[in-house]
Amino acid sequence: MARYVARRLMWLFLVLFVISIITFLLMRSVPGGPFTREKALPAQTIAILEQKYNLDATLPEQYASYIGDIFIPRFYMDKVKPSAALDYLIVTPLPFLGKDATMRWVNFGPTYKSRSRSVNDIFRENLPVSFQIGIASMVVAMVIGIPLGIVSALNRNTRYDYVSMGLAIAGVSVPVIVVAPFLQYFLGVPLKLATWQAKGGFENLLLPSIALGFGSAALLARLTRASLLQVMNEDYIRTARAKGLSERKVIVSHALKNSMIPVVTVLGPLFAALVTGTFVVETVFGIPGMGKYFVTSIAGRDYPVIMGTILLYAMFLVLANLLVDVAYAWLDPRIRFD
Amino acid sequence: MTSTPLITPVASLNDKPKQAVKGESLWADAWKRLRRNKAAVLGLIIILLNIGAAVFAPIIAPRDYDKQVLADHDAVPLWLTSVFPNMIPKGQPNGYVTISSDYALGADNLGRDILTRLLWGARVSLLVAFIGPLVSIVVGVLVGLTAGYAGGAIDNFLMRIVDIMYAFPTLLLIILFMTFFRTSFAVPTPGTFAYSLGQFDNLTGGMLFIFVGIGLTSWMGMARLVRGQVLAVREKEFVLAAGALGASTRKIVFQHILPNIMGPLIVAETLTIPQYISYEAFLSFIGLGVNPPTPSWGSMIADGSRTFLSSPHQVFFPALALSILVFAFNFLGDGLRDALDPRMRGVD
Repeated sequence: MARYVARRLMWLFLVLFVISIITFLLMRSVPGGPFTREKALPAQTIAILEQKYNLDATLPEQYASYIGDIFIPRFYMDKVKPSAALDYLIVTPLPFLGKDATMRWVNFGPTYKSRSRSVNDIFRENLPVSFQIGIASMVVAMVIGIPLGIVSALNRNTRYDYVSMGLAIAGVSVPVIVVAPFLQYFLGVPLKLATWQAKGGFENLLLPSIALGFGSAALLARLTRASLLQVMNEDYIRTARAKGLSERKVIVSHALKNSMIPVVTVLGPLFAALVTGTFVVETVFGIPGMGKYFVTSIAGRDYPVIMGTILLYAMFLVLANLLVDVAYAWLDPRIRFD
Repeated sequence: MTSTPLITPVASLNDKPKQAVKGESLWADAWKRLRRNKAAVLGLIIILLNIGAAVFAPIIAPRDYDKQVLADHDAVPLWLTSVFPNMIPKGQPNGYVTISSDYALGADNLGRDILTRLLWGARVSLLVAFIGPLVSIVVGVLVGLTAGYAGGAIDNFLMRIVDIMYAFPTLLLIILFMTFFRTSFAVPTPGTFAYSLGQFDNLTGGMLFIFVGIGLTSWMGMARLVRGQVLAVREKEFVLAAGALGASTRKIVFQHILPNIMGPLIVAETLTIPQYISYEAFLSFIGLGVNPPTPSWGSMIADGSRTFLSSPHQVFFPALALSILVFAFNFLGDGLRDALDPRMRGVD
């Protein structure tokens, strides 16, 4: 198992490497640059700006220095003056080397749109917001979806089944950009939840996570139902009943756990979809998450923001999938990694 | 000795001898099952109606989709004010809504007929619904077939590419692709390939690049599915027999393997169509979709949701249209799955 995880982590680096190269080439081949303005800047100004941001170097040099800033830890013996260019996400003090010695790691670079802010600043402020919504909508999806699927499978072809599955097909069918305005209209305005409050807590997350999680809840409900129905027809369920176990015990300890295997496999991709899908609800609900920064950074050719966001999300997706595979092995002892 | 039961079976056998022996193809059988599924038929009818609306939009639409009558901005017919009680007609206290019976479903904030724009908007959603899967099937089938049939190092290599593409955050990649296409092919010099592509995109109201962008980011699931199916079918007797009889690789792949795995492919693709439609709607929503004034349901929802408090009809109707179409595709997809799944055979 440990070897398997180690191999997957190695694979993660390869994936990130390829993704970073594709993204880098793609974004650099888009015409226009970060300092292209409708009213053109003087050539000298652009030259100075490009020199400042290392944009006058060759592409491989730029790529190498960018990746180096992220992955290679830097050591400083003296105090570092805080600046947008030297903003590291991970700062570890090294007291045995000197009073101010530090190891600094993961610098996603400056954003071209602001002299005083770095990409790390944007991550620190906006990523938690996006992740909160992603996680909250995942909770919504699981808390609504899985019980709904179980109820409708255990009451197959009854009223409960029809109502749950009707709800589920509605959830699968109605896109987020449709759900969101309607939630705002029918719930947000009457309950005064319509806009994101800077100091708000839980109530901020309520509508966006329902809007985003509803479709996934429906998906999970359908999957859970199908899987549980299939499991209930298995021989070992008959055996469990034959040896006189209570129906409750048959369902809880024999059927449910096994029926969750296909459900768990989709949780990883689902979570990934939700975490990136927050871009949609962020736009609709006006939430200050990563979505806005990503879209404007592409329009403004803010290369470090584009790269950083894609790399971070990709890393997150790969890790989520790894987690799912590990959970998979725990649920199904027949699965062994070697 | 004149008991009829003994004679009737023979007589009926003689009456229609052919029907007793005639086999049914998978597709005829599937079609028969599909017709019995009410939800799927309803879905099919809705899709056909939408296709009709999209094809005949220039004829049946009451107005031009880009004709603005600014005096009639946000106008609604009277019956809509009873659906949305907070829309108070002008003349009443606090009234602000222009009432006009010229617009069956009201007008938008620029005074354009919403019904007309809905009919034209069906074109975008339907084209995405059919071309998106086409792109993903072509790429996915090519990759999946090659990987599954060739096996070994080629399989390994192709599947690792699929893994890497899977790790790409899809939505982010689509946004990046869209910007890339839009700006790279907006070349002002005629005669170049990029220029003609850009012109073609303009001609389609900006739809071409949406197809390409969505298609390029959604073939991976298809490739995995095809590969799995090929691996399952490859060792079957009929494929081995074809090989033993000296059939060429091309013939084995395209005449023996591909037709046998089409069922699951079609089902999977039909069930992802709603996703393509939603992607397009979202892209239009954030302004990377079709070029205005070409109407798309997504851009109509985007425009409408800005004023949804004062004129909810502008977001309500495109949202309804979008949901109904997606419903229809889901119903059809579910029906197709039941109809094409061989394990369901003989159940009913």
